[in-house]
Amino acid sequence: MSIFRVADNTRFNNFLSDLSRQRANLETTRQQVSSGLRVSEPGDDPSSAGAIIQFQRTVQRIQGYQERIATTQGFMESQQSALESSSNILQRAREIATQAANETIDGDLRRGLSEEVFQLRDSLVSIANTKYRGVYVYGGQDDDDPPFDESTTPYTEPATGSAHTRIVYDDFVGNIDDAGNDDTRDIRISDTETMRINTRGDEVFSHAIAGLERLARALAGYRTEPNPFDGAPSPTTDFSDLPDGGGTAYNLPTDFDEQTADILSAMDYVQYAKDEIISVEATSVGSRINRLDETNSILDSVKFSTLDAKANVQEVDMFESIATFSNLQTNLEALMSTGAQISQLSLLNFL
Amino acid sequence: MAGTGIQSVLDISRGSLANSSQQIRLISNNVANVDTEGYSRRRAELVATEGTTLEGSSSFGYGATIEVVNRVTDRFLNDELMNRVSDRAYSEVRDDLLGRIQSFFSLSGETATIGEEMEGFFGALADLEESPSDTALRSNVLIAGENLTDTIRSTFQGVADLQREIDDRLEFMVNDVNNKLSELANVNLRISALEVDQQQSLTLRDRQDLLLKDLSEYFSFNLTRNDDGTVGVSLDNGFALVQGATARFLDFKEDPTFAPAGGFPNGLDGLPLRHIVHDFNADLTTPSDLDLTQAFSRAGGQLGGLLSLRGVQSTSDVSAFDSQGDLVEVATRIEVIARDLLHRFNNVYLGNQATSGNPNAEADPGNSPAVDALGNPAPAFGLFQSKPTLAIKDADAFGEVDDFYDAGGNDTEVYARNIMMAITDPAKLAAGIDQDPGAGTSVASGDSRNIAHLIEARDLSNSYSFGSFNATLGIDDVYDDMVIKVGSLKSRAASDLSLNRDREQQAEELQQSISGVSLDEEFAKLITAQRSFEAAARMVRVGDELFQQVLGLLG
Repeated sequence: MSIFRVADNTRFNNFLSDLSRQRANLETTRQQVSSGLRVSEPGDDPSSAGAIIQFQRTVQRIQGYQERIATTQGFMESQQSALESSSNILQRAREIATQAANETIDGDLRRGLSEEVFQLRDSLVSIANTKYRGVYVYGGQDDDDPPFDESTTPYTEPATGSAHTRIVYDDFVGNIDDAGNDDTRDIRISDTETMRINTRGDEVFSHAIAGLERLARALAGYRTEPNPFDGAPSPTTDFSDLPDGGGTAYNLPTDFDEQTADILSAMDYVQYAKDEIISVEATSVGSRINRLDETNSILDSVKFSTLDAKANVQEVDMFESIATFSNLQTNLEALMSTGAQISQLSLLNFL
Repeated sequence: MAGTGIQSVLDISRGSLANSSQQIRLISNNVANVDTEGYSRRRAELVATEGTTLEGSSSFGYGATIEVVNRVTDRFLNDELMNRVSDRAYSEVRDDLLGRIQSFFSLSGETATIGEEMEGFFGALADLEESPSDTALRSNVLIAGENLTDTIRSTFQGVADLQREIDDRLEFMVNDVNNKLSELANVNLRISALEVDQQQSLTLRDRQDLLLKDLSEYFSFNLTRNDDGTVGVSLDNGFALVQGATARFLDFKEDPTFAPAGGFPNGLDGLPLRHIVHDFNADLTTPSDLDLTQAFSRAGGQLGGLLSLRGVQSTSDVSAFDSQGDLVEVATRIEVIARDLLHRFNNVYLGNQATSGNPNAEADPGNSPAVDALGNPAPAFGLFQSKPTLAIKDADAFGEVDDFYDAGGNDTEVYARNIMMAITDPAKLAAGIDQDPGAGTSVASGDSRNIAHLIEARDLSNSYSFGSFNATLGIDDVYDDMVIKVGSLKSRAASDLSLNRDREQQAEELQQSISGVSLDEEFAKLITAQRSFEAAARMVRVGDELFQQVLGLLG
C-alpha cells in the first residue's frame, strides 16, 4: 500500500527500526563466524536440532567403543604373546622328552632333566596367570585370584619336592552366566555386537600344564594317575581326567621301559596340547584381533561420515558467512549514510 | 450602501486576520508536538460566514470563521494499531523467555546439558562393564552419575526459577494495568464533563488514545466508543474493566475464593502460583473473587504471553505438572527423565531381570541379587534416590522410589528437583549378579551383568504417561523430544515476532500518515497562512484608504 503522507515520526522510527534490524543481522552473522556454528541453539533450526543431537550421540558412542577396542587390543595382544611363549615352552619340553626317551639315558640323567621340565611347567603357570591392567587374562571373571595355583591336595608321592606340587585351575564357584555357561569376558564393540575377549584358563592351559607335570614326574621317576593314555593321544582320547594327585614311584631299573613309555605318552600329550589347544587358541585370538581391527576401521568410517553429516547440518560455510558479513556491513554503512542525509532535508532549510 | 460596504471590508478583513493568526498558532502547536507520543495533529475547520442579503441581489458573504478545531485521526487505523501492538508484545515476551530456556539445551557442546551428561553416564557404565573391579572406573560412574543428577536438578530449577520470575512480573504488570485503568476512567470522567457542543477536549482525547495503546501492550480488549466521548474496555468473556468513569481493578492472589478444597497445587519451585482476579467485595471483609486468569491468557499482549509460558491452573489440577503452559511442558519432560531413572533404572539396577527375566517387573529391594564389591546386596533405593529421607508411601515398608503417589492417590512430588545418587562409595556399586542368592553370596569380581542390564535398559522403549506427556519412547528420545519442542517454540516465537513487528510498523505508518505531524506540510501551510495574514492586512489598509477618501468628499 502506498503512503503519500509521511509523518516525521514515521521517517525516524522506520530508520531506527531498519538500523536495529541490520545490526541484529550483523551480530548474528558475527556470532556464526566466530563460533563456526549455524545452529548453536535448538531455536536456530528446530528441524536440524534433533538430527544434531543424534549425530553427537552416535559420535560419542563410537568414540567409547573405539576406546574400549584400543584397550582390548592390548589385552588380546598380551594373550597372543602369552600363547607364543607357551608354545615355545611346550616345544622345549618335547625336545627334552625326545632326548630323555632315548634308552641310553639312565634314570639319574632323566631325573636331572625333570627339574628343567618342572621349571618349564612353572613358567607356563606364570604365563597362565598373566595380568593385564590388574585383570587375570585367563581368570574368566575372577579378578581377585590367580587362575592357576598349587592344589591343596598335592601328589602323594613324593612327599616333598617339585614332583609333589600339583597345579590346578581355581574355578570360582558360581562363575556362570545367565544361561548357565561358564563365563568369560565380553566387550561391546558396537550397539548390537559383543565379542568374547578371553578364554577360561582351564580350557587353554590345563592340559598343557598337566602334560608337563606328567612328563616331569615321569622323568623324575613317578607315575601320574589317572592315566588315560593307551597309545598316542588322538581326538577320541578322553582328556577329562586331569591328574588327581595319585601315582607311585617307578621301581627302577625294572620299570625302565614303563618309564620310557610314560615319557613318550607325556610327550605326545604335550604335543597335542601345543597343536590342538594352544595353537588353536592362538589362531582364535589372532582372528579376534583382526575382527577388532576391522570393527575399528568400520567405526572410524561411520564416525567420520557422521561428523561430516553433522558439520553439514550444524556448521556454517565460512566463506559464505564472511561474504554475508561483509555485505551486511556495507548495507549498514549505506543505511546510516542515507539516513543521515535524508534527515537533513527539510522545507525549513529553504524558508 | 457605501458606508456599510466599507465597514464590511474592515470587518471581514479583521476576521481574516484573526483566522490567519489562529491558523499560525495551530501550526506552531503541531510543530511543537511533532515528537509528542500519542499526539494527533490538529486542523481548523473554516466555514464561510453568511452575510446580509441585499434587496434584489445575492448574499455577499461575511468572510469565514473557524467552526471547530479537530484532531485528525482514523478510528479504524487506531484500533488496528492497538491489535498489532498486542500481537507484537505477546510474541516479544515469548521470544525473550524462550530464548533463555533454550540455553539449557545448547547444541554448541560448550555447556553441560542433560543429554551430554546422560551420554557421559552411560559411557562410564560401558567402560565399567569391561572391567568392573577397577576402582577408578567405579568412581567415574559415580562422578558421571552425580553430574547427570546435578544437571537434571539445575535444569529443572532453571525452568522453575523462570516460572517464578514470570509470576513476579505478572504482579508488577497487574499493578500497572490497574493504574492505567484508573487513569482511563478519570479521563472518561473529565471528557464527559468538559466537552460541550461539537468541541472536543483534544488533549484529553489524545491521552485517552495513548492509554488505550498502553493497555494494548498488556492485553487486547474489546473497545466501545460512546457518544459522550467516553470509552469502555472489556475482555472477551464480557467482563468490563472500564465503563465510563468506573474502573474495575485486578488482584493477583495465591489463595482466591474459587480455589478448590486444599488449594491449588504449588508451582514447579514448590511455592504457590497466583491468579488474576477481580474481587467484587474489595471494600468488604469477605472477598468474592472472579477468576480472570484464563481470559487474560487468551487476550494476547504481555500478560497473555507470560501466562502462556507460566501456565494457567484449573481447579482440577493436582500437581505442578497439570497446568497448561510451555514451561510446564518442558519441566514435565525433565521430570519424566528423573522418574525413569528413579523407577525403571533403579529396578533394573536392583537386579530384577536376573530373577524374573522381566525388565519391567518391580524388584524386591530386600532381596536384591545385585551385589557390590564388598559382597553386599544393593541398597533399597538403588542407584538413584530422590532425597535423603524419602517418605515411605506404601504398605510393604520398603523405601521404594516407585511409590510416586501419596495415600490419597495424588501425585504431588517433584522428583527432578531432588534427584541424586544413592551411592557415594565406589565399592558399593553393584556391578555383578549373584546367580544363586539363596546359597550365599557368589559373585566374581569381574562379573558385570548388572551393568550390562543397565546399559541395555537405556535403549528399551518405555510407555510414559505423565501430565501432558504421553508417548512410548526410549529415555534418549524423551530428551530429544524436549529439545525439539523448545527449539520449535523458540523458532516459532522468533518468526512470529518478526512478522508482528513488521505488521505493527506498517499499522503505525498508516496511522501516522493520518494523525502524525509532517514538518514539511506544516511549513507549507505556514507559508499559506502567512500570505493570508499579509493579504488581510492589505485589505485593512485598502478599507482605511477608502474610508479616508469618503471623509475627504465631505470636506
